[in-house]
Amino acid sequence: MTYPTTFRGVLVVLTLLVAVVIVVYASTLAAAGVGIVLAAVAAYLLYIAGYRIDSYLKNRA
Amino acid sequence: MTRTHTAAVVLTVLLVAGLLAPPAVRGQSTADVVTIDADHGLTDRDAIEGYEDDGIATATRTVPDVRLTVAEDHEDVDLGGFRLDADKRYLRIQYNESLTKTLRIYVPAEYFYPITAEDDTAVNADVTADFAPTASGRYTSMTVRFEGQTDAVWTIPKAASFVFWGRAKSREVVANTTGYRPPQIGANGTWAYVPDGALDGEASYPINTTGEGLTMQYDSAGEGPAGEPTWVSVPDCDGGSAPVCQYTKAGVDDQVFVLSKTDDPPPVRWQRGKNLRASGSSIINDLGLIPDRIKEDLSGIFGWEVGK
Repeated sequence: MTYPTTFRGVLVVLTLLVAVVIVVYASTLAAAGVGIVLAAVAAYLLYIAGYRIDSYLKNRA
Repeated sequence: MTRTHTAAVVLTVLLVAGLLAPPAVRGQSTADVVTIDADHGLTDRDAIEGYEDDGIATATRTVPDVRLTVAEDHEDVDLGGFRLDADKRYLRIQYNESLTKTLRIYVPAEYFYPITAEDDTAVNADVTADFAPTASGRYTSMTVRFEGQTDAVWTIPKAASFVFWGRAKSREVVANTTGYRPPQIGANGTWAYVPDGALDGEASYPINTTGEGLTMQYDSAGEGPAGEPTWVSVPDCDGGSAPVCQYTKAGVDDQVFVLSKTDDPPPVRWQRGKNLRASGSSIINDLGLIPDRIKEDLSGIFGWEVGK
């Protein structure tokens, strides 16, 4: 079994874990659906922010 | 010490003494309030249904001797003169004792939305009352002090009154001209509640539907931070840990049943039709409760004491 090593891979795995928790603990299907969409959007925004920070650190010289 | 200083010191002492005095000395203490609360006939299902049909509901109590009336027409509460009834409802309290008493009465939300008002004076008597929603949002709590036998009527403003009035009027016109009675969206758009005690002991309660959908929610305030009611959609009975769930029976198309899965079920309310705004806030409430549910599970598994 291989573990994710990249930032994107870790983010995807964490988002999937959050999605599973939401599905288990939300009491209705609608809440689970909205929760998963919100988690995906948050993960995407985090990825964009991380990517920007990475680019900035690499190119600041 | 100058005269001004002396006066200031005396004033300060008086103020501090006033603040430290027990509530009974300062004014009305809660111990003097006769708490009728929801223990009166207006909370009965029959009275609520009668009000939805006829626009008037009445209940009488002997101890204390009081008669409660909620009406949509000012003539039903013996108010004379010209009055527009479209934007208000009337709450009449006939107090028939000579003793001075402060009463606290809960009026169910089926009659009017829970309102907040302080020192609201009756239209026909020199009596003031305080109104405030109860924690569950199920009732308006009314506190009023009577100095003897009194017949007092308060006007209660309808929320978004003209919308509901227009809807009711147009429904009436359609029904009178075509004979077809359009389905009513709730009782004037208000929430109806499962009566207290109807779900005790893991019981089920039927709710009549008209095939246009149903928005049903329970108060999950027990799961989250105490205080404000947190209304969450009642899920279907196909698993899950919600204290109440809903199901239908094969062959019964016009009823949905709400089933309690605990001995101490939470308040349940419903509205005919799909209320998108309520569904949206229910989803947000549901998601907000997930951390509390996880904490509860963890504390159940490991015996941790997790503070809310």
